[in-house]
Amino acid sequence: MQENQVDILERPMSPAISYPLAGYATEFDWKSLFHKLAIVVAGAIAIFLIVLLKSKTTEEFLADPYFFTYAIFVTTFVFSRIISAMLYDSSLSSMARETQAGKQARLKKYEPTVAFVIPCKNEEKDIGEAVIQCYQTDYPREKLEVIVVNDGSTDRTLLILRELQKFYPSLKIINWPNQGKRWAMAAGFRVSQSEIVVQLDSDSHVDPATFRELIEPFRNSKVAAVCAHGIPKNADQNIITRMQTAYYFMSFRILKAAESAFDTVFCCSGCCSAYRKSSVMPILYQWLSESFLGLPVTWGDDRALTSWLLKRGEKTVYNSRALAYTIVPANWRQLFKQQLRWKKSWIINACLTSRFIWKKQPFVAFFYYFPLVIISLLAPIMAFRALIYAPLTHGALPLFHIAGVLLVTALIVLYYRLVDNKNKFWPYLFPWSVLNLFVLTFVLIWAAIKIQDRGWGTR
Amino acid sequence: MREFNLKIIKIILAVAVFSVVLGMVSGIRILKNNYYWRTPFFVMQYDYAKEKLAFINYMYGGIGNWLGSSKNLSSTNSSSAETAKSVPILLYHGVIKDSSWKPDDVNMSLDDFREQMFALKKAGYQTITLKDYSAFMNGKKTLPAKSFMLTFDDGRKDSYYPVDPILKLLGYTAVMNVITGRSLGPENDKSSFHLSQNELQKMAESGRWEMASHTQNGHDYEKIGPDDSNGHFLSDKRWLVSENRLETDAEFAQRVSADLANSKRDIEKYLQIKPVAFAYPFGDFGQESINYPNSQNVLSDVLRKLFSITFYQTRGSEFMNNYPGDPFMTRRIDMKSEANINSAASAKNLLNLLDDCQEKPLEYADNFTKNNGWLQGWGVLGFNKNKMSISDSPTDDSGMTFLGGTYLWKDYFFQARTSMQNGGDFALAARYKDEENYVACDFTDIHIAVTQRVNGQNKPDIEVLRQTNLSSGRIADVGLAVFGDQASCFLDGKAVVSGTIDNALANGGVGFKMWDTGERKGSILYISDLKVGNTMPALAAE
Repeated sequence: MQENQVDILERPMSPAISYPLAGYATEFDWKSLFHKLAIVVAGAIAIFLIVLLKSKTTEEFLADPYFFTYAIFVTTFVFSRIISAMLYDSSLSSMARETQAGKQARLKKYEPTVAFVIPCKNEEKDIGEAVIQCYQTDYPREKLEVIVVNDGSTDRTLLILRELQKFYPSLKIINWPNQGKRWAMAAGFRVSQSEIVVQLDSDSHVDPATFRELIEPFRNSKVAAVCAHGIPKNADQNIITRMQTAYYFMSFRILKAAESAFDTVFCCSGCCSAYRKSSVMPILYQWLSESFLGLPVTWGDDRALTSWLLKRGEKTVYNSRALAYTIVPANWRQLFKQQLRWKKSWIINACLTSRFIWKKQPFVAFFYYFPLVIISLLAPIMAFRALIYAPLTHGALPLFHIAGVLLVTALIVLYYRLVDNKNKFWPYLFPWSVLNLFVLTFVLIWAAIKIQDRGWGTR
Repeated sequence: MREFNLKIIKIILAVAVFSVVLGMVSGIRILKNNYYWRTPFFVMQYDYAKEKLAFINYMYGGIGNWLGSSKNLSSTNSSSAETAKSVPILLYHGVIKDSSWKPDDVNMSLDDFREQMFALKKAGYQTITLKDYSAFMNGKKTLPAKSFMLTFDDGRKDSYYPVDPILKLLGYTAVMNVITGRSLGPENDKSSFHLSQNELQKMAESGRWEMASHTQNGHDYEKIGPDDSNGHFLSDKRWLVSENRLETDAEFAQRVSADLANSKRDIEKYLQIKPVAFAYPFGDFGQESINYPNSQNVLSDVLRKLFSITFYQTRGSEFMNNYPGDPFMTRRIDMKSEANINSAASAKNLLNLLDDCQEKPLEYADNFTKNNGWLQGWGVLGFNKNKMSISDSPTDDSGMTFLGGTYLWKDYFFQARTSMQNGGDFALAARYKDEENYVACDFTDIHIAVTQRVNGQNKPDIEVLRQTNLSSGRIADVGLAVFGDQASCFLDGKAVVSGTIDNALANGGVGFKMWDTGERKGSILYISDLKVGNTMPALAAE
């Protein structure tokens, strides 16, 4: 036992990969100017090629109004995401400047009490590091609270936690028989005595150096949840993790940033998000007792919680400067199961969100959310038409369709490179978008079919 | 502050989304309609590279040989200082790329077209423009011996996109005869078959294409009677259904002249080009009229006021080239119908045909080891054992042939050895221009006559009655001498009858005609030992 304990403590921390997300050069730098100029030129070329391709693949509006509208609609949607993402920085920086009082307050140090909540089940390998990372955070120890909910582990998880408690006496352990992750998270909210609750996955941790960035947006009293920028710890493991690393960058730094520009992040991701306890408590019960088509919802807790907050009219934001590391699936089976779970939760939450979002956030609803829902539903149909129907009936290879997808990806990649020119995973966005086109698009249909299968699926 | 910022961001995004939609819709529209960004233009660039490779292979037998050469592909290799006495004009319609296309009566495959053009280029032929042609016809300009003109009828997209790369490669030009009612004007921009105004403008700008009229809406059939009968727009009177009558002469003239004037106006208005040429739809200048034979005159009067050049298609019985004179009624060789008659679609046959049409020197002898340029008017033409044979065909009870390249001959003595088999009569023709204009000596069993036809009208025969026994296969030496205005027929070396030739028949070539007599079919005329000399034989009277 003693040996195990030492083993835990001496295990090296996961390599602190440098992702200088906000690393804009402050001094005048010819190289970076050239880099930006090149991206602008390449972007103009990509936009031109996209329009050229559209002019080749679409009929005149009158000849085929539906397809023409769809083609314009879907491309405009991608553009609007990039434009929103461009507006994100300005949006975030104005966060604390809401009032004159806020301006004054900004000059003071903002240090609310913070609780980490880590639900875990059979995580003997990762739980130690997760707890230690929490305590390494750059934050006054007396304002930190760490709560681990052991959700009926059958391995040595509990033993390890007990050992950790010797080093960190303030560590709170909730130990109960398995009740599901959502209940474990809820227990964390209930037990914590802090203003802010940071929900973590057992295999993820916040970058201690950028932790304060996660808390900073709460200065604004209307912010109920802040999502950190998620980075795979195992990025370089294989092609699957590399592709996901590129995908994570896009989905956080572009898509979530775009959502955050309007203070409505629709999913504060489970791997690391912080919540204002006072905002969560009123909806805790509704969130816990959520059911869909008569069955309780067992996954997508993060998305569901965010939705309930949005329904209350709360603001949810993403801070690209707060970094969180997590483990991503490293084999196809796990990846597909994860994707299936995510898509299922997306479907369920789309039903919930669609009902209130147009009242609470009409602009976001009509400029983003409803278009997103429509495109997500049409994408599999359009992909089917281009990839299967047309080749079988007309013998037409879907070259234009694939070229279009790759061009749009190229545009996203260019913005990716503009935001962070040191992130080396960008080429993997291309295979990811091909994978998305050929496989993941159709997973949504599979998810809809299997929606009543509420099994966990992984781990 | 925060809410204000959020409002600004929302406004920016809304404006941006609106601009993106507007930008994309208009961008797509612009690119769809812009000549240089449309797919056919891209394909044409690719085709040009492909044609260039094909031409290098054709000329040099490989890239390697070409690299070692002077690399100038578009220069002509016609080194002779000879000038053209006549100009052939070729007519094409669509040029089809699609390899699954089934041959038809109008269009030609790109492979055939390419081979013809490459062969012409290799043989030293060079295209001329309408301006060159007018100047040549008016005697104001000389042209290199191997000059020809390319024309395409109907203003079709498939006459341009596959063809232009070849023209560009070879340094050739062509004339596009546009049906203006189908190509010009904003309502025709979206045609998938006819060239649009924009395309025609780009063609004209390239300097490789000249524009001519092919009517405004006159390339159509129309109802010409109370029944279902149809006729050509330009050569038949229209049936007016509501009034249950044919249109009057005045109405016909009015309709036809309006259409032709409109076609000219369209080209001037939309292409800023003054068209000088017109091509008759279906090659019908009125000769095919069903209900109004006078349409030929009406058309001619109207067209003369509008265009200096009109194009029609040659029939088999006339010379194919054009000789200095009035360019109104210019002859063209319809590459498709020639393909049917002489299988000219092969490049070799086309070159042979053009060679046959080149002027022959007047001292001429033919031993008929092969066809040295005899063109078939009708009937059946054959060459065997140093003899040429002419016979009737299942559809004609007569046969006719003439020697290409002899149109400009004037004064000559034309002799041959003949044998008329299976009954039938025959004639030697001289000063032959076409079946409406020639001098002939008719040889029958009972008489020999100098006959003449001028503009389709027979002149009075000058005949002598004589028992000749020619129809029984007797081998006879016959001849026809035309010098100045005198024509003399010769039988067995002796002049038997003479007459004065009409002024209109000042020049023309040599030919033969034979016809069945009575109910008998299957007569054949054999000809051998043909000579044409320019010395006048002694007209010793018997």
